[in-house]
Amino acid sequence: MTMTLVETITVGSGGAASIEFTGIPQTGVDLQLVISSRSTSSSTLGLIKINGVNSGGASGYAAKFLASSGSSAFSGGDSFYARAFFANRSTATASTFGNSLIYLSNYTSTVNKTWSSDSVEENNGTDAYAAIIAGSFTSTSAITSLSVLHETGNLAEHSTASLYIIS
Amino acid sequence: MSDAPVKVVVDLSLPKGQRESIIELTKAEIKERTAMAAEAETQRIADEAAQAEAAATRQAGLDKLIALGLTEAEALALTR
Repeated sequence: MTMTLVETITVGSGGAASIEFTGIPQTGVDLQLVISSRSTSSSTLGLIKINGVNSGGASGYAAKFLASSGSSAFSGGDSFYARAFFANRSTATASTFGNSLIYLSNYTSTVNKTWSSDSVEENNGTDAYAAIIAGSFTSTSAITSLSVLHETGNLAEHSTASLYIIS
Repeated sequence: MSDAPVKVVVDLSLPKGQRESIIELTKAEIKERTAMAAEAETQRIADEAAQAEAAATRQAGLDKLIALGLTEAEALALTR
């Protein structure tokens, strides 16, 4: 197995609504996204958008999650884009960022795509979210683009996203 | 200078050093983003209401068990 770093992007001054990897080389088997992010809003939820497909389109997103806020545990299902990771919310401990790893299997295949993630919010407070999520994307097309964004707000300055190809 | 939100687009078909572009969101993208945030907020409120209802139902059940003569520890043990 070979794991190749394709690109690392660091968000600059002023933040950004999203990081979009396009033209993903079709030379691997799996993809891995490593995200360090902080939101400019009070929401901790981070999303990935595959091939530019929005929630509610013909191609659907689905996920099951097991999560904790630090004080209580919860689980459930989701179909809103691909809620795939936790970012640090704007009120989390200053200058800290959430850690997330998202693994997408068989991204060039002609069957539906599946992914899994584990992520944590880093916060020295009452709440600090963590989750393991399993997700799917109903599409027989190869994954050629991936976007990283937050449910609300921007990716704050110094947030990073790295894309790896596993072959 | 425009205050429109921007996105970082990374075209991996290009050589390193030429891939990254900072692009302002289009009106359609801003509209989608606004709709997404509104939908997320609606879902968040619904999720909180569902969690509150579940907690209230659980507490009502515990109260009934305690009213039947169980201690709180016994009632909680039954619900685990």
